[in-house]
Amino acid sequence: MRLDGPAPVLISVAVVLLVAVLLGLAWDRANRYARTGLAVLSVLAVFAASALELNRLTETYPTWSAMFSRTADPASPIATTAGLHVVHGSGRPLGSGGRIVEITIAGRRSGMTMPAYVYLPAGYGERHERYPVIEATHGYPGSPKAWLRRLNALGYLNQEIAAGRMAPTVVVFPYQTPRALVDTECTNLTRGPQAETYLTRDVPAAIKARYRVRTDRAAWGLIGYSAGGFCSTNLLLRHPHEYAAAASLSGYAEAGIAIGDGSQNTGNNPAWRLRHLPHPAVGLYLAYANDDKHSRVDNQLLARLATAPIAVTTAVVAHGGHSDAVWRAMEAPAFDWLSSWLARPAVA
Amino acid sequence: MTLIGVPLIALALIATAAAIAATTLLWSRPGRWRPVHRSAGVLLCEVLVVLSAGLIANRQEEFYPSWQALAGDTGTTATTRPRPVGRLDTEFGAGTLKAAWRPAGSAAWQLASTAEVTVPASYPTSQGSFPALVALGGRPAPDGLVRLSLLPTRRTSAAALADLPALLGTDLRVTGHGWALLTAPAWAGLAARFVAEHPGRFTALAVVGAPPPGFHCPPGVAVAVARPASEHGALPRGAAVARPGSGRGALPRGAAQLTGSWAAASGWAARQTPPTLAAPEVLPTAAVA
Repeated sequence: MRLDGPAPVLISVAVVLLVAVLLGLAWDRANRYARTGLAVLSVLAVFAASALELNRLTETYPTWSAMFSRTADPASPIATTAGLHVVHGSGRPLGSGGRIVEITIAGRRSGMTMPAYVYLPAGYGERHERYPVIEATHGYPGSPKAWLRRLNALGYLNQEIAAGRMAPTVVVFPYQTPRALVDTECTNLTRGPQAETYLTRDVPAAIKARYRVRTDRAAWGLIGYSAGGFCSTNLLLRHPHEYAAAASLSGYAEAGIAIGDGSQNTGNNPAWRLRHLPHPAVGLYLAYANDDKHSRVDNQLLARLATAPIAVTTAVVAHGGHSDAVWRAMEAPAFDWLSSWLARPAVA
Repeated sequence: MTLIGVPLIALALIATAAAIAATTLLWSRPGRWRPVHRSAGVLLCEVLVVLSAGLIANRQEEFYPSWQALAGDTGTTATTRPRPVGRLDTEFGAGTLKAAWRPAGSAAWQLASTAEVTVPASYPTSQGSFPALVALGGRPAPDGLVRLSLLPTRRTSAAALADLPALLGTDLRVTGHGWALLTAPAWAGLAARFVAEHPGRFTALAVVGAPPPGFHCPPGVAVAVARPASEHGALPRGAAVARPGSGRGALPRGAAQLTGSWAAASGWAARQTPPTLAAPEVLPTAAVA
């Protein structure tokens, strides 16, 4: 049974009902201890049901095993694989659409060892081309599974590539924290996870070593929603020699966490960087819903500050707040835009 | 009543307090329905507590600022722009892929001969826009891009060419970014200034031949130098990825080294450019003050 599926939520709601009925029926016959036990049980059941539903909405812990911390193992070789385990899409390489496979990326430089999902477009492995690559970051709390289950990335990517609005592209969905409730905002936390190193060095090294992808900066891009939107903007501005373009869906202009070295106010603050540092020649896509006040204010600030040679494209959804529906509405336009800013698939 | 407004939260809190009070007051009221009203009271309290907490959290974070948003209604659908049209599109067809290009004002460019555009064979039937490959003092090889050949003179300046990208954008179905520029060494300085005057427009610049002393290109643009195999001896040893330098024959910082001439440079430049895509899905853009 999936931890992030509807079944655990329904079962926990049934338990809530059961405990309430039991409490009504047994109260008069129960002694003090039994009554306390029933009261505590009903509170716990309500908590559990709420937590399971929140987990289902955010995909914070996609599996039972994810509840337990994944420990880093710096001794592991880079890009070890858990087989070519197809988790979504056609299991055959010749399927009409692309497929998503699960790998494990053992980060030598960051010390983070995490699973990641990789979208391989239709026809991957049949031709001699090397593909452009997009790294997709998730929200907080969240996991790459949110891209796959709640935002249907496979469906949108297949659709846009089949329609010719997007070039065949390899898309990587990595984790950005080893512990689900540690918010890294894709930075290197002082005395904490080295998420930036993992995402900008270990993940690209593993993907370049394992898949037929282009290794040059012109063919690498970033996309992310919510906290992942901040990630893609911040990582693009910090690593313009590694990435040519980024799309931020309902992202922010600042990290909103303490990184430990104060850099949330300087080097890890896109607004500060745009005000104080030379602008790199990159493409930046800033999308937000008009009723998502925080994201709207931040994105308008970024759009004002990001002058040439940064090329900014804005995209506004009329309403919908900070929700899956908004990101689903943004997905296809953002992928199309990114593809038009990345170098084409090419024979090496 | 709005989803994130105070009235709804106040109502939820009052209802919660009322439910708790009612459940407590009625708890010991005798009767055969006692187990039922006890269970129902407890459940009602639980639902209202969770609801109030949810409303308060939603007001703080604005996940769903409206009832519409809660229903998953974004009020927006992406649209596909109509197929772009170039003013000269009708001049091209099967067998006619080349044309002289004399837009209004082109006399100011002071070229040695009329500019020439060549479109790829797929251009007449394609629905999309193509990146452009501009060549100064040479003829690029066919590679799936819209190619523009210019033969500059000493009087040609980057400032005089300022309107060229916009004019090409009107006359042909070309993208607004991701262009490449090839140049003979004689026009390398002009090429670098032209690229610098159009930030975000060019993604690649290749010099076909030994670049002049001090040649450098704006950051963020991929640079390559193409030379025949016979000239490679003149390069610094191990210069597959170039060593920076400033003398004649030295490679600009970070430049790729290509063996060959215009054809090799064209192939390299095409690989740096975005693919030709169907008209993208787009969302409305923001008015940024």
